[in-house]
Amino acid sequence: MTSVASTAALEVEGLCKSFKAVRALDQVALSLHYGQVTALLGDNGAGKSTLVKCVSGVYAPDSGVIRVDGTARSIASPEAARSLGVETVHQTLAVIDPLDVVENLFLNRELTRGGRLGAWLGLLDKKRMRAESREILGRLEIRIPSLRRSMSALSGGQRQAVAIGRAAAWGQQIVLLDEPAAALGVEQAARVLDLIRNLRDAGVAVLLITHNMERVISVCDRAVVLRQGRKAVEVEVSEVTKDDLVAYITGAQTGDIDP
Amino acid sequence: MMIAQSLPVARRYGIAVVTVALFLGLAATTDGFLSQANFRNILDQQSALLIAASFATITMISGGFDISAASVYVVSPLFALQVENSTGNAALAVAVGVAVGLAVGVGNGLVVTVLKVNSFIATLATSFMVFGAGFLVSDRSVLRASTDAWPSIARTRWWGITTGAWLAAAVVAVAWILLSRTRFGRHVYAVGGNAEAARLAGVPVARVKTICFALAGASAGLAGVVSSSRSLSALPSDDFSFVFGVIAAVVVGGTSIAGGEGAVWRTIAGAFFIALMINGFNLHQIDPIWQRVIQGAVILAAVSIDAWSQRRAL
Repeated sequence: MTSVASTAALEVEGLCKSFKAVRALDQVALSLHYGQVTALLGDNGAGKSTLVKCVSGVYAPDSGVIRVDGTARSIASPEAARSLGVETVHQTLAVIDPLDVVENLFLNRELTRGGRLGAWLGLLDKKRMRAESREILGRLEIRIPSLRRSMSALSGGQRQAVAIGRAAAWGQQIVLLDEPAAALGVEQAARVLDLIRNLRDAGVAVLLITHNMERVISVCDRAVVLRQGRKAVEVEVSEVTKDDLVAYITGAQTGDIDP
Repeated sequence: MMIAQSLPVARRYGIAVVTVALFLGLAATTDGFLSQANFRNILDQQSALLIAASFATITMISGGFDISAASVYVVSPLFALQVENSTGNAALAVAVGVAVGLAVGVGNGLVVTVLKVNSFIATLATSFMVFGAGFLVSDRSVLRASTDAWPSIARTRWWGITTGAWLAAAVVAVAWILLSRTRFGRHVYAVGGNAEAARLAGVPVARVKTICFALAGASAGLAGVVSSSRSLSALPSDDFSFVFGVIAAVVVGGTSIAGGEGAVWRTIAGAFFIALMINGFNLHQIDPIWQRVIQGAVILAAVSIDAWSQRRAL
């Protein structure tokens, strides 16, 4: 799982984004490849979430190019990102509590019945959505006690699993995960990592933001480190240690020195 | 864990249980309660409120709090009757009445979504403007229907039930299906449950909210028309009491004022609970002053249960 694949699934070049006087992203480049997990590392405020939000259509970058499958795209809205096969699990805004599991999985992707008239009226096909939800969760080996439970009745791990499951179910190409296991216990976090491996094995290009170096070592192929909005270094995870990664993040070791 | 799981169930079906219990209690203890005439009367009296409350429920679930229903309810029949008086065309008058409500609702929706004003304050402000328009259009006097068609809108009887009640049933059915069976309904829950998450999922949050206010306005307009068809007249005022009845039915039914949770059928149950309660008071000749106190206590209990279950959910 080393070396670079052919065309990048997602390629970012010269990405800049400022908030008033603060330069959140400064000429950042990044590429994601199919069947690989790329870690996006950096201290708080390094620009990780901003980068994810630029790619997922939440923020409009000030300048820079975003290529999906080699074609330059402007991603003006979350809807535009989704239509390009880019699915995102944002840090805290992943699921809607009062809705149940099926409703969250199919949020804004609801299936309708009754042909074209039904589609125009938006008549929900609840039965098919429930069946497909079962299939999606089964495929990803996510175990949820009941699909009819509202999200607020589920544990943190189950909620996060549903959020990732939604991204995985629709993002057949590219999935961006912003600290998906941050609030989870050890066992639940391990389940999330398994889920990420399943995605990778299915050929999905995955971007993982995390503060946990063990997770980087255990699941990621490459790591990109941001520092103060700039790309500090990009490394093959198999060639570095946890301590190296921490040193890159804090700036104790610069990217110019070959590891 | 037992409480955490039983509470949503209590909240979901509690209103149905207490409404049935009240019904049975009144049936057992009260002379004159179990009569067709009494029930027809209750149905007819509730028709305007049910029309407005079913769509007010949808707005509340979307996270909006719309108190402009009272002003629309008062003013839409004034516009409608002016049209009826001058053209003699009752159908056109009804359309105008509903359109007035729709226009106010769209205005509310735009103020809330574009200017990002808190919806309670926004609809309070538009209420005053609409009440004012009512005095202007009616020249501060009572308007009376001039055609026979006007009373027939809500007072015709089909199988013993007034057309006002049939109309209410139809509106309730539309609201119910829209909310529970369509994508739009799903998006209403999503927007009220977590607007930011809904936006990130690509749901057009502002459009969904605006449509909610628009439909609520139109339904309040229709409610005003039905009411004036029952009374054959319309009177300009600045009386907010109609919307308090609407909101009471919604929250007693168990729809959350925080948004994201609720159902049209619950509001119907809430409306009938309050209506049966008042009916029982009247049949037992309980002092109207005490009626108010008890009604207030019931509303307080309903929102307390809501607040309590919100805390449990966290």
